[in-house]
Amino acid sequence: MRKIQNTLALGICLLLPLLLAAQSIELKTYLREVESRHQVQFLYDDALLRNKSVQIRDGEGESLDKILKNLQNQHPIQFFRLNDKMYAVKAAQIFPAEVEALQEKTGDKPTGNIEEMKSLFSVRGTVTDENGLPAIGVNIFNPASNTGTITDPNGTYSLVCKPSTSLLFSYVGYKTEEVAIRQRTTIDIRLEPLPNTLEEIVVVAYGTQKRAHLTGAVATLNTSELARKPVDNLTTMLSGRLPGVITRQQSGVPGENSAKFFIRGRSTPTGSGAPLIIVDGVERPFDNLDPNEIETITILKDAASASMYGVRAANGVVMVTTRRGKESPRLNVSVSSTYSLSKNTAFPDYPDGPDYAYWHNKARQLDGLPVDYSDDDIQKIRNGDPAGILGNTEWTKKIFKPFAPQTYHNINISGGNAKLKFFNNAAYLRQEGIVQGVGFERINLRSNVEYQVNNHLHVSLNIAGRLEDRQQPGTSPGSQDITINNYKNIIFYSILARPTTLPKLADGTYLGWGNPLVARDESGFYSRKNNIFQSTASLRYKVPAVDGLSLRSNLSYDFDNGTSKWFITPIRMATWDYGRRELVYFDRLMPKDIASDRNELYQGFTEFTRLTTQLAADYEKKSGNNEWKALILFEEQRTVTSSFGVGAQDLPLSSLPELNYATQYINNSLYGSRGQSGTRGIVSRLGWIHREKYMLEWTGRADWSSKFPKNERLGLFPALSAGWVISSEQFFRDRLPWISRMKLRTSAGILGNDDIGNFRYLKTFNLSSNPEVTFGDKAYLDLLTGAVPNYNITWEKTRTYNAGYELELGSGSWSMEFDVFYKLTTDILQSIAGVYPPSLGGNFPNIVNRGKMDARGFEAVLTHRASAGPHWSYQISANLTFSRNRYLETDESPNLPSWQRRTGMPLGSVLGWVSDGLFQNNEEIASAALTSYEVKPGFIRYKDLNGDGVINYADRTWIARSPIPEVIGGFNASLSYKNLTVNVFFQGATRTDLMLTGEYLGAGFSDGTFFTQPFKWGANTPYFILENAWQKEGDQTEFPRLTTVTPFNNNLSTDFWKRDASYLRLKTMEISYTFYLKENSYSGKTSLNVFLSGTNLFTLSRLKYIDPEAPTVSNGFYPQQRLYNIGINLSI
Amino acid sequence: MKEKIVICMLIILGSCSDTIDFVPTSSFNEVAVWENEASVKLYVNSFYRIFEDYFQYGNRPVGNDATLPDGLTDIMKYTSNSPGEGTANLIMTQDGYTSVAANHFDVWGSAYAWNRRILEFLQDLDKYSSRFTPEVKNRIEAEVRAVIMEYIHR
Repeated sequence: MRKIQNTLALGICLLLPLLLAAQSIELKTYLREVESRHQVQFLYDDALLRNKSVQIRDGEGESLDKILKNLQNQHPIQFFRLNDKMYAVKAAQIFPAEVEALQEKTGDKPTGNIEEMKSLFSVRGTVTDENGLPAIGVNIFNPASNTGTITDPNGTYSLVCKPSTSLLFSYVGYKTEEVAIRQRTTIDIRLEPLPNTLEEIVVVAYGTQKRAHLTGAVATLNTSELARKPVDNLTTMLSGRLPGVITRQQSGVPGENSAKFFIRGRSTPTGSGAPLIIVDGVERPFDNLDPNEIETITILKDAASASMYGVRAANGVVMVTTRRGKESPRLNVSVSSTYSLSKNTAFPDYPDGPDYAYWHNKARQLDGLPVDYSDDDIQKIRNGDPAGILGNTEWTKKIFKPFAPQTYHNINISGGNAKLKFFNNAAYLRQEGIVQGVGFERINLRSNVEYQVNNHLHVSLNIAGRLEDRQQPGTSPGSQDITINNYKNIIFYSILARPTTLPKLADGTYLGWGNPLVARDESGFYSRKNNIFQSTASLRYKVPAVDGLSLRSNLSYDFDNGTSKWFITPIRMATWDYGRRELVYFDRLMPKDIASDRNELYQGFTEFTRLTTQLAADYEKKSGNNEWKALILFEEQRTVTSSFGVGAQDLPLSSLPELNYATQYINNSLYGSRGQSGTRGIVSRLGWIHREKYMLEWTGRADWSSKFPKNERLGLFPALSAGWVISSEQFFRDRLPWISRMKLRTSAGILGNDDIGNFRYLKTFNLSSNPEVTFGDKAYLDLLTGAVPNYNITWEKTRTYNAGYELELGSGSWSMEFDVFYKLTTDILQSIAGVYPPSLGGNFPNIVNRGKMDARGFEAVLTHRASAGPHWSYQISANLTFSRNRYLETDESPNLPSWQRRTGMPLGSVLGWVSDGLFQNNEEIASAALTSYEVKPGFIRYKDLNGDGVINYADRTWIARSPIPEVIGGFNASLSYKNLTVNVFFQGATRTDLMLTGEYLGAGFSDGTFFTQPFKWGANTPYFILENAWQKEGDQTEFPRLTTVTPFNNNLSTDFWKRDASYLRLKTMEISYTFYLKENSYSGKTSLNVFLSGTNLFTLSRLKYIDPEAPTVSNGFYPQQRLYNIGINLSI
Repeated sequence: MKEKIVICMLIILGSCSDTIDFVPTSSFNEVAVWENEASVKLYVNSFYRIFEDYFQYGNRPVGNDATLPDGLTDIMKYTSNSPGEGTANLIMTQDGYTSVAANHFDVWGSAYAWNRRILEFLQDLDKYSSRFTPEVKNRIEAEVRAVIMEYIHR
């Protein structure tokens, strides 16, 4: 609770400077206030008002005349009254003709020179909004003469101006349009709405809502800014853009580089912690959607917004909406193409052959061992070996291409009229890996069609298809999975191979035990293809008998199938034995890291279907100052997953990798299974809005999930939220008139998490693989019960509290949003191993609802957008997300020393030994507490926490933070001048650690890695280790002793290997220029946009040699990629 | 008329068959096993393993939870399949062989497990008895109870 107070206090602190700044404000801002207070309008040139500020006296009750006079005294400006509602602001000197022209327009009697007026030109037209309705009160401004007008209730205008100039159309909440007059007397224009205004419709759970009415914590990303970037995976683009999202991208493998992605961090250790993803109302993944087919991405963060997803909502919800056709008098066609080059963001520098030999020899000498390389050998490495064995091969440079190309093409066609609207999209992406043989291809197709049958009935059909094709060599390019030996990936081999031999012998035999070229080129292939079909049909029926009532239904059917084929081939290789100085020949099946001369082929097939049905009734009623909104919805969802696969070996022809041609089936390689799950829910929402000022909303869901026992399936997930537009209150307006809008909101509710296996409440059986019982003369199999199920298993419950405010200054040019939250998760599913005596242990459910965890944090967003003069405009936005969790209750042995208790620690904290520098000499070693391993000078000294004179497991404590950052932030700035736009986006993260060595993920043991242990397994060692390793007494170095003997003492999980993984990235930068090829009477313009952009252009971090988002404890990983893009977009 | 058809469709779309009650197919589980007599028989077979655990020392050499202390006496010294010949007691009592973490004298682990399995069976027999005729149910129950009696007796 105290932390919440602190966070609240911080929020108030952030607000306070704004309050204090109230003494002196910009003239322009002040004029806007006067405009709203006195219901008048000022026409002015921005340049005139720039850099002018006013001292505000408490002028609330003052008359308009007095205010204007006061301003005229403060600045060299003059106000000209055009009519009751309009004033022109001019520099103190003014041309009489313009004033007269203005007066003529506004109906005032002309008093000046008639001839002067005749040279002017009158333009008329109608301005409409995006729905084709008249836009009332649109500002039309002629910058050349500083004249302007507004549209009348029919959306029409007329303005007197010089014929050669252009007009600016600006309207609150809409994009400002500049149109050249070019002698036309009629200019009709349709305005496009700006995102992020009060009228903006936000996608919320099972519906939409006006942003102004939101009471929950919701963040929205309009993807128009992402659309042009060649995004292969949408998760990687969200970090720093949506407040509340915490990400970590560990890999750069094309098609596999999804970022780990959490909303408000993690609040439970169960499952993946991934949020629920909803695309067009249905649970579906979104990583591989085409950015061009997405309209908005919304994340639901608190209970009020997410409780309608009940038992699946505790990790937050991501809602993606695809684009719809808009009413338009013409067809909108957009074609774009991008070509990109990618390269590694960071990769350590490795010594070449002679340097490796030098350092290796040096390490051997320090070890007191004979050297591997004689001077003669080094000469051979440098100048060539007549025997064709030794040589200088820089493997990492051979494995990585300098650049990998990517192409992206997109075409989308949309349009519609009042009845029929459609949006069609097709996209093609091809990515080549920075490692040869790695590639990803994707085709996205979509057709969204909707039809308004009559006044009551609306139908729509969204159909999408996607093809994904992932190609990799037989040896994985970047897997980190230690449990299946797959961490020996191509990058691993490129580091492992000594750079002192040639790649091949003269006869073509590959040389080297772990030759990375074999892993890349000669180890077969791994190919995966996915075909995805998604469809949603919806009906909406407005019940004519009851005003405000509508019924709707959705039927959605998704079907995916995936095939995989892994063909791995052995090869005969030779390796140079440095000790015996001879060549050793051997057969090796590199992808499995085994000695074998048989090829193997594995083929698998998966099929997935999901059927979702929704039936809902919406009711809306407005009476007087009250607005009611209600929704009741029934939803069912069922998924079925089937898989089938088999393996075979000894294919005589490796050019025909088909099961038919295999000569042998691999034992126990056949599998086939089918799994199902289902949920059913009843969702309700009741909202009340009073005078657009007070909002109260109830949301809730009753959920039944097949994951729980039949009689205990029903879970209730209610939430209550309230909003108060405090800026509409008189007392607020009196005191803080410069705050144009401020809303306070708060919510509380319960969310659930059912991210556990299916049917954990049922007994399972194992079928014996051999006969177990004999009756008579026949042997029988049996079914033996397995682990004890938890008959009472239930979902985890997360109580979520949220409070926040939204703030707008200067009619929306500044806005700020701030939220604090506290989440308390109870009934966390956890293993209770170690609680019962061993003889009893297996006879109790081993997974129970027991743990407790909380998470707290805040999000802040600050946005500023403005235009300075007719040609310049800019927008800046910054956001910050903080989330920290900790275990409140977890089962742990009472015998643990206090410094090892998990309770109170954040999830993902690392347990290990505290280092105390390096031993400098044998005397220091003799007097210190030691591990059971050999210790030499230059090795790591550990702290003996319990003072028992030895370093053992009891001396471990919490040494490092989780690899998932606690703080993530983004800063986005764009600046436009006429048709040129520059956009930069920085993203950063902090309060996160990376372990270079430690316990391997999921393996339960630790070992040195290529990034900490010199010459591990003879591998090449980066310069940053070699040059910073301990060599002699007195060396104060970042790395321990240079040695070729495995230093087990140093390979422990210790804070010595902890590195702060904070970083700041120039995530994207883009320069684009738009050519307007043709103008027509509608807003549609034929335009050609050319852009240059880059992704991950530079990174500031304490880790100079590897990417700060590198996987923790790794022996080589596929590096994150930097992209340079060039592209064009033509829209007609 | 068209509208009426559409409204009917709307209702039909929303009222699908049962989504959350189905027989799980992803593992051998109780719902599937108690589906018919043949699969229950496979389940019943597993109880004959009791005899393996408690009556035939030869297949459960030293180090297994089910080793009874009798096997460690001088009379019954054995390893592998040769009673009286082995060195089981020497192995079992050697220094450091048995610890808190690895209790090789544990005979109760297996006994508790069988107790649990028997109770599970009787519980499920009751739960799913409606799927069988009384004769079949009685026969299954009798068979298992006979095995249990042997087990308790020993």
